[in-house]
Formats: sequence, C-alpha cells, structure tokens
Amino acid sequence: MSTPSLHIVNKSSLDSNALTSCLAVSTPGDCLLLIEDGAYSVLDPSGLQTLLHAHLEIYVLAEDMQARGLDAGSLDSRLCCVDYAGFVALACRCARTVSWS
Amino acid sequence: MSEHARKTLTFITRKAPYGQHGAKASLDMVLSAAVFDQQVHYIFMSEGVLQLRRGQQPGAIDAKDLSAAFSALPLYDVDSIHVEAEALQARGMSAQDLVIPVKVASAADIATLIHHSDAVFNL
Repeated sequence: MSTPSLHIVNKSSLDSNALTSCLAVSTPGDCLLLIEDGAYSVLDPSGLQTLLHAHLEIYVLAEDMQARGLDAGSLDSRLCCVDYAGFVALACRCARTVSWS
Repeated sequence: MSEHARKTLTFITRKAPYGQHGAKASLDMVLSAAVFDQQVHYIFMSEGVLQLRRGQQPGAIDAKDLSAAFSALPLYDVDSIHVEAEALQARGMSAQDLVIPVKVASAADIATLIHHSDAVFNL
C-alpha cells in the first residue's frame, strides 16, 4: 500500500509529545496537518526544524492560525496553509487519517 | 464474514492508565473490533506502555484493574500487540516488566503497521 497517511496533530509541540510521537512513526511522503493548538507548533523553532526534516508534506489550518494571531504570511515557505476545504481534499487524497492529541 | 468485510484496524494508546479515560476506551475498542472479527493491531506508545506495567494495585485508589482484561486479549484472538521500544527504555522498563507477552517494536515497525492499516484510532 503506497498511498500516504494524513496525520492530524491538534496539540502544540511546546505542550505535548503528540507531534514527536507522530513524526517518529510517520512514513516519508505522508501528509501532516496542524490544527487547533497544533498550529502553535509553528512558533517552536526546534519543533519546526524537526518537522521540516521529516520528508512529509506539512500543512497548517488557516482558520486556526487566524484565530490564534499566527500570521500565515510569515510561515516558512515549506509549510502550506490550507482552509477547511483543503483539509477535506487532503483527507480524500490520503488512504487513512491518524489523529494525534 | 467475507474477507471483503475484514479490515485491518490499528489502535494506538499513548496515555497512562489512571487520571485519563484513554486507556480503557482503547481497550474497549480493541475488544469490540476483535469480536467483529477484524484484524487488530494494538500498539502501546509513550505513556501508554505504563498501562502494561506489572505490580499495579489500582484498588488503592478505587480504580479498575485493566490487567485482567489485558490477559483476556488472546481469547479474543488479539495477538498483534506491540510496545514502543523507546518508550519502554525511557522509563527504565523492559518486556519482562509487563503483564502480558508483547512484541517490542521500533518506530519503523510501528510506521509499517500504520501504513498497512485501513483505519487508525489513536487515544
């Protein structure tokens, strides 16, 4: 089975090991979406570095960034901002979702 | 049940046994899935490995003992039970410290199980 998984992380990497655990057992080519407090992980420089080295497609939910005062414009160019419709499209493209909380 | 209806379901449990409901909820889901003849992988990661620690006496805090239920897993044909090696090591534990026989799994082993699952439940 070569189709990717969509990992959904809803806790900040500064507050929880959800992101660390997720990255440990993800497969290169998987998609990772940061939602809810997971969006705060973009403020964590070391968390972000680990993310960017994981060979995943990384997305952040725009609405959750906006709600938390996180500026999508200053996001690292290797991270993509998606809205709810994009979230649905990702879920459809991936074979399974794995939620990390 | 036809092979067509048989799914591979992976349950990841990452919470310590008391103070949160995740441990019991995961176990209930695993047993339910097994009763419906699904292929089940049961994976203990992070704090979840503490659920299997020997010597627990939850009666001391009026909590329910899960270890009896863990011992029943083979009766439900749940034999794909995996414990994250790194999580054990980080807590100074080994497979001998656990109430049931398990497979000690690397992160790569767990990634492979997830990758071959139809659905993954993670509490």
